[in-house]
Amino acid sequence: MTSHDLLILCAAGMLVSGYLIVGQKRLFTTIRLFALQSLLLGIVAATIAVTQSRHELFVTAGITIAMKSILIPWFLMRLIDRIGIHREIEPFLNVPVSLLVCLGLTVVGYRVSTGFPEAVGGARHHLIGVALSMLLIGMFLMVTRKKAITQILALLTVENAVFLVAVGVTPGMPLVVELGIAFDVIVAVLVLGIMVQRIVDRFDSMDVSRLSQLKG
Amino acid sequence: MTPVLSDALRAFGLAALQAVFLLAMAPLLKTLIKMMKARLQNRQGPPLLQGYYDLAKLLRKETVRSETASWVFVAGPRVYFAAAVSATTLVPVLISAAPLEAAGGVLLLVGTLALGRFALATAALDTGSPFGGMGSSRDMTIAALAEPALMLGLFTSGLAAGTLNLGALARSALQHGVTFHPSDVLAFAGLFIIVLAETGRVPVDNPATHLELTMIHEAMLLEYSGPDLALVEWASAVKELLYLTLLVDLFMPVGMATSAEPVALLMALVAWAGKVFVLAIAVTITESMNAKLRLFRVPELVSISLGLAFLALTIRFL
Amino acid sequence: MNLLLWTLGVPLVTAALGSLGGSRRIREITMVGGLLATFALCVATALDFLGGAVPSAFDEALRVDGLSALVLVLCGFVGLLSGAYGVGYLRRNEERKIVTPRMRREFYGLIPAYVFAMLLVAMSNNLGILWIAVELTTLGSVFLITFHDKDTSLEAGWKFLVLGSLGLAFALLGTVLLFAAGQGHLGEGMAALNWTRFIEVASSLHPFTLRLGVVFALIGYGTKAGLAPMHTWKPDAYREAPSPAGVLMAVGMLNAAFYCLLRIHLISTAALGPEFSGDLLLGLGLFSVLIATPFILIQWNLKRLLAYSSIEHVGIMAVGIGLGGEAGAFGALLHMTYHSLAKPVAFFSAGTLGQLHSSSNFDRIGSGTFSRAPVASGLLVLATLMVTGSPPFGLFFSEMTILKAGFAGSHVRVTATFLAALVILFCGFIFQVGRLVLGPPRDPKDRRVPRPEQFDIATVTALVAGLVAIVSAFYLPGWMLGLIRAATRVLMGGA
Repeated sequence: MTSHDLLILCAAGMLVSGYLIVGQKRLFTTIRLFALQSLLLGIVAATIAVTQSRHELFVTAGITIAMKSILIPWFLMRLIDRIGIHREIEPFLNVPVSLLVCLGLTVVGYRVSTGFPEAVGGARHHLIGVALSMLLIGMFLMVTRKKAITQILALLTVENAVFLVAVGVTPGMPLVVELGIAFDVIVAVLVLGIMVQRIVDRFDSMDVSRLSQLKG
Repeated sequence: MTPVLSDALRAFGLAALQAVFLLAMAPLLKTLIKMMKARLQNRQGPPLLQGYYDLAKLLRKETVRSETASWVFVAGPRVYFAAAVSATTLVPVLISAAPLEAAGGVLLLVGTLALGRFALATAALDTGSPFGGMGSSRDMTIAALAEPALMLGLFTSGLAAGTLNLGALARSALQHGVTFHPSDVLAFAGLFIIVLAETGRVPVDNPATHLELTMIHEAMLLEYSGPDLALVEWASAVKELLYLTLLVDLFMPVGMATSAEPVALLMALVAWAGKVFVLAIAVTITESMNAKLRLFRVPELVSISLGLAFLALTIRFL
Repeated sequence: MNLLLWTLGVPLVTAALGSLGGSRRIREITMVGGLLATFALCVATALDFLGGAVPSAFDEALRVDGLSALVLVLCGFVGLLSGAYGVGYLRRNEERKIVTPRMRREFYGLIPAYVFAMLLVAMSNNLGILWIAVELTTLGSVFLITFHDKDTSLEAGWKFLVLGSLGLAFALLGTVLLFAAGQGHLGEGMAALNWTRFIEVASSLHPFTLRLGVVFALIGYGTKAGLAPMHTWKPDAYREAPSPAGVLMAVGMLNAAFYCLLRIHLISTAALGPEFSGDLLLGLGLFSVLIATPFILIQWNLKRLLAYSSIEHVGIMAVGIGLGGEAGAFGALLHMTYHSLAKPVAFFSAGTLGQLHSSSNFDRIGSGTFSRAPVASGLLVLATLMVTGSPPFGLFFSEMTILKAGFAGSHVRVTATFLAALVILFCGFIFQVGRLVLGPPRDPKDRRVPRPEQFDIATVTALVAGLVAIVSAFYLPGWMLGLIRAATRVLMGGA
């Protein structure tokens, strides 16, 4: 298997995990799928680091795997354990309709990706296509999910998509910036976690559709 | 003897060999998955040959049939078994050509399996027992969703090679080398879910229980005993092995023999066994990590695979 | 040592000292003193720039040109006002015994930290640092919004955080795509993300990737600026945040986010011509103004009213930029300046009224506030006149400049719609505030008698802010005008 195949395998795997997250109703499984997705992202980064000898990407890969496939999932699972919420997701849309919408979004993402230079055919095309599809799917998840934790996961999916573009398309973001961004992401997740905790303490629920006092 | 006739005879010979081979291996696979699952749960698990012992025991027992049962009930297991055995001749296993591939490709395979399912479902209805009816209605519900997904997944693979013939598919993959396309991964994920659904594995059905509220496949078999039951169990095992072989053929054909030379065949046997084993591990892990879904959730799971298969097909064109 | 580092360092140290502890008096003096020094340093930086230098640091990762200098001065000024008012605000709350130690720590720490983040946005030349700085303001805002720890403030905080993070993810994607559009022309290392580098190699950027990046970046930073349809967090956040923090968000963050929009717009202009991002900004801006109109007419809460007003104003600025030309750009920057001077007055008076009545809902405040709190009500009327763009105040001139640019250009129909919306907004805003301030006095038998208005540092700050705003309408110091002109030159593609 060539590195080209490995890239495509991982990118498509990320897309599959995105779809499984859409179709999944168990909170823990969703988090595990997210961890898997991040792991694949890390592998993509590491593969590119090896093949294009861009060694700074190893740092990206390391950070991604350590943070997003281990630390953040662990943090979220601990959060769920501690606040002991109902462990099923209740989306606004049922699964088949959601999948259909996501299918359309993937088509859009792929169509847009054809505009990139050297994009038609090849690994790059698929990397961008998958990334843009995941971005749209993440946004879709964000508007159709009620639970605070699933909204965090949707946000993280969007962030994974952005990182996939960053490693797949750019000739390498400056390392300082990359570190700053990674740091910011983890702080943002911590803050989101704190907010979830406070919301659950206050409302006895993680259902953000109950946050509807403010209107007009 | 005319060449046509000799070709036909050779094909039938091969078909018989392959059918016997798969029939022989199938109980082993079933027990293997059971054993690995037990090991993952820190249990001892059955010995590897347990599947054969079970079949032998069932075949020795006497058959008890309900007085109200008609010929449909008798025919059910036989047709089911026959369908599974005929299906084995349509799938390439060790050599990159199915023995009877002249008869038809993917469509014939799906149709044959559907015939078996139909026979079993009607047979389960025949005795009038409430469980049988419940089982067949559930089985049909899932099948109605799973079959289109299966077809779509198979079509996706067929689209790349430009043929729906499984042997030709494997040959083209072997010839051109395996080039990855995201749709392969998507189709694989979709088909894997379908295999879980069709073989009654955990997120869909639990093969290890006879709990009336949840069972699907087992509910259809409650009225059967003795050799009839053995036939159904055996055919199910063959079907499972067949599905895993199908996944192997479509997505990882590397290592298949292109001719019937003994060395190549031996290599192919090792490769095939290895690949099926890997898939069996994947099935085991999925079974151990997931709990069975509520029945109303099953269509959702199957619809995921339908979505993935459809996406796989779409992405081919993007 | 470098002036820029001082400008950034002082608020940072102030924040650290503020969150450490100490007696109330020391903390108050530290914060106000620190913010005063920060403002002085901002002005010094601007003067340094006007003197012909281009202050920069860290290999041009931080760099001050005309646009940066203008935003720096405005943000520094607002930071100072907010700190001074904040001291009084917290004292009043101390009297009501609703301040916990957590609140003190957060308040004295977060306000200077927020100022630091805003200033970092304003002086960063590097798109990566820009993004990081904006993210810092977001994280700071969350704690400011949830400051009072009520049900509604948690709701507002959550909505803000989710929407803001999504916006930032978009902005990050935009930044990444802009970088990808460089296709290696941008070079290696930290400097590859420098805005100046983008402008240098603008002609060799890949058009499609650039377009996509510009769209994502504009939507992303537009979310932070509160452009419709990404504005929905704004009314909630403004209502829940304590008034001093509200000012920081309504003026500081708005200016900073708008600054980001301008930087992206400039890259797009240099590479693709002004139409692409200009039309996008025009559309978003007009939509913001139109969206704000009905909500101002039916508003039930004073601070939310101000939020919609700020959505309107960022819309006006975007329209000014989108209409293009030197007049439009000058009008937008002038608008930014006067808005920064006028909005604090509105927030301070609204904050005082809200504090007196323990709520900023219209029905809780009741009509006829003039008889109960003459200073705050008077200032509110003054602020209303200013932010609605009545002559002779500054926003009138800036709006006229933009309108003139619009009618002179090719977007006459858009400008006419825009004008109509402005007129309705004017009437709606005056109606809402008039109803509140004038009206018949509240029934004296009403048992919910508000606390009497006090004369303290908060009131003084509000008065000073009002005075500055009035004077600025008639007399802008020469260096301030110079800054606006310099910023306009930057927008027109000069240095």
